[in-house]
Amino acid sequence: MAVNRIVVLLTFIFLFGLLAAAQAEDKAASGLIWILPDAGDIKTLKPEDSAQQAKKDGLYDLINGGASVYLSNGFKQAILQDYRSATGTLFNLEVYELDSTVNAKKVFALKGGDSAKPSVIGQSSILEDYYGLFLQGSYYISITASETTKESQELIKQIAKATIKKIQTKGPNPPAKK
Amino acid sequence: MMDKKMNRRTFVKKSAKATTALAGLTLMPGLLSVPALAAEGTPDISVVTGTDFYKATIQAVENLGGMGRFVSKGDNVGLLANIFSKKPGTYTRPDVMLAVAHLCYEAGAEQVYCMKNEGKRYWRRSQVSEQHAELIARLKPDGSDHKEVQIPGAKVLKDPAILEGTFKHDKLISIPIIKNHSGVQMTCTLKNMMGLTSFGTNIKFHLGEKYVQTLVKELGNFFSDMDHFSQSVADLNKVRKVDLYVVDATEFITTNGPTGPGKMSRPNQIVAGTDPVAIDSFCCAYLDLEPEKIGMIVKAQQDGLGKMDLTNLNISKSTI
Repeated sequence: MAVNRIVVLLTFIFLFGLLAAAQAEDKAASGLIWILPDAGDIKTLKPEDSAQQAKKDGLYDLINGGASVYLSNGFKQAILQDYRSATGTLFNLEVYELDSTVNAKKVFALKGGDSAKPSVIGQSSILEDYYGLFLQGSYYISITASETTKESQELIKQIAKATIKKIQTKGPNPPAKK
Repeated sequence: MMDKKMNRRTFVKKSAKATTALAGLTLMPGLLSVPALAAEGTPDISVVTGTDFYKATIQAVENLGGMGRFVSKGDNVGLLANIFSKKPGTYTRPDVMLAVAHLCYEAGAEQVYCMKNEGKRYWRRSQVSEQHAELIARLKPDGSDHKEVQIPGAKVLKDPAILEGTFKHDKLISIPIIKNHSGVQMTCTLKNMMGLTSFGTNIKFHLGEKYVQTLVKELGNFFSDMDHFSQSVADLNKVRKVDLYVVDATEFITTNGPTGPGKMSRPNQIVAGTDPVAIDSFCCAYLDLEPEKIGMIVKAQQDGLGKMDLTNLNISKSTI
C-alpha cells in the first residue's frame, strides 16, 4: 500500500515536472508574447497586425540604428505590438528585456533622462503628452500614441498597467502568494 | 501649365546627353555633388509648408522643376526612406513616400522599388494610404541581399556590405526624416544612406577596425569614435549618386533619437534638393545645431559631396 502511494507520488512529481518543462519550453519559444495584454484587457483597443520580436542582433533588423542603446546594455529580447483604438489612434507598445535590473534601469535612464518619478505604474515612469516610459524589473517599456488626447493618455496608462501586471504575475520570479 | 510642361520636356531632352556623359563619372567622389541639370532660376533647395503632407511633397518637387528632371521614362527607381522606427516623429511619413512614388510613375518610371520594406505595417501608419492602395500595390520591395563593395575614394569605410539594388536601379531617391540622434546629433540625408548597409557594416561605422577584434566588449562605447563614424558616413555617400533628396520635416523628435520617444517639433515642412551637404546644413536649424559642428557634414564637404555655405543658394520657401 505504502509502495503504491510512493509510486503514485513519484508519477505525479514526474508528470508535473514534464508539464513545467513543457510550459517553460513553450514560453521560451514564444519569446515575450506572454507579456502582452490579453485581448479584452483594454476593450477599446485592438491589436494591429501580429507582434514583432527580436533577440540579440536581430534587434537591428527591427529598429535599425536605435538598437545600439539596447545592444550595449545587456539586451536579451524585445517585443513590439501596435494597437488601434476605436477612434483610430495608433498605439505602439515596445517591451525590452535586459539581462539585469541594473541594465534595465540604465536603459530607462538613457531613454528618459532624469525626469523619472516614483510611480504607481511600475517601479519608475515618465508620462509625457504622447508617450509613457516605464521600468519594471529587468524590463523597459515604451508606449507611444499617434495622437495626443486625454483618451490616448488614459489608454497609455491602461496598456502600461496591463503589461506590468503580466510581468508581475507571469514574469521571472513572480511574488509568492500570500 | 502646358507651357511649363513643354519647357520641362524640352529641357530634359536637351540635357539628356550631358546627363549621360556625367553618368559614367558618378563614382568619382569629386563629381558626386553634381546635381541633375536645372533650368535657370530653379531653386537649389525647396521648402514647402503645409499640413497636407502628400500635397506639400508634390509641391516641393515641382518647385525643383518636377520629377521629370530626375526620373526618365523606363527608369527603375529605388526609394530609400527611414521606415523602421515606429514611434511618432521617428520615421518618414508614408504620405511623403507615396507622393514621391506617385511622381516617379507620373514621370514614366517603369518600376519603383522600396529599398526598405515593412509592407502594410508601414503604410497603415497613415490614413492617406487607403486612398493610394493601387499605388502601394504597384510598389515592389527591393529585396536584394547585401554585397561587399569597395567605395572609390573611401577613407575609412572598408568593404561595406550594401544592398545590391543600390547599384541596379537607374535612379535612387533618398527620403529621410530629419531627427535627433544621440550619437551624431542629427540624422538627415547623409546618414540616411546607412539604410543601405548591413548590421555588420553599421557596427564598423561605430567601432572601426576594433570591430574585428572585440565586437561585444566594445559595444559599451558605441559612440566613442565620432570622427570615425562621421568619415564613414561621408564615405558611404560616395557609393553612388543619389538623384534627389526629399526630407520629411513635418514632425520629428528633437531629443532621445533616433528611436525616441522624445520632445516633438512640428514645422510641417518638406525640404527637397540635390545637394546632401547643403540640405543637411539647412536642416540643422530644425534641431538648433550648427553645421560646422556636425562632423559628417564637415567631412562630406571636405570630400566634395556638396556645400555647407547656404548664402549663395537659391532657397525657395512656400506654403500650401
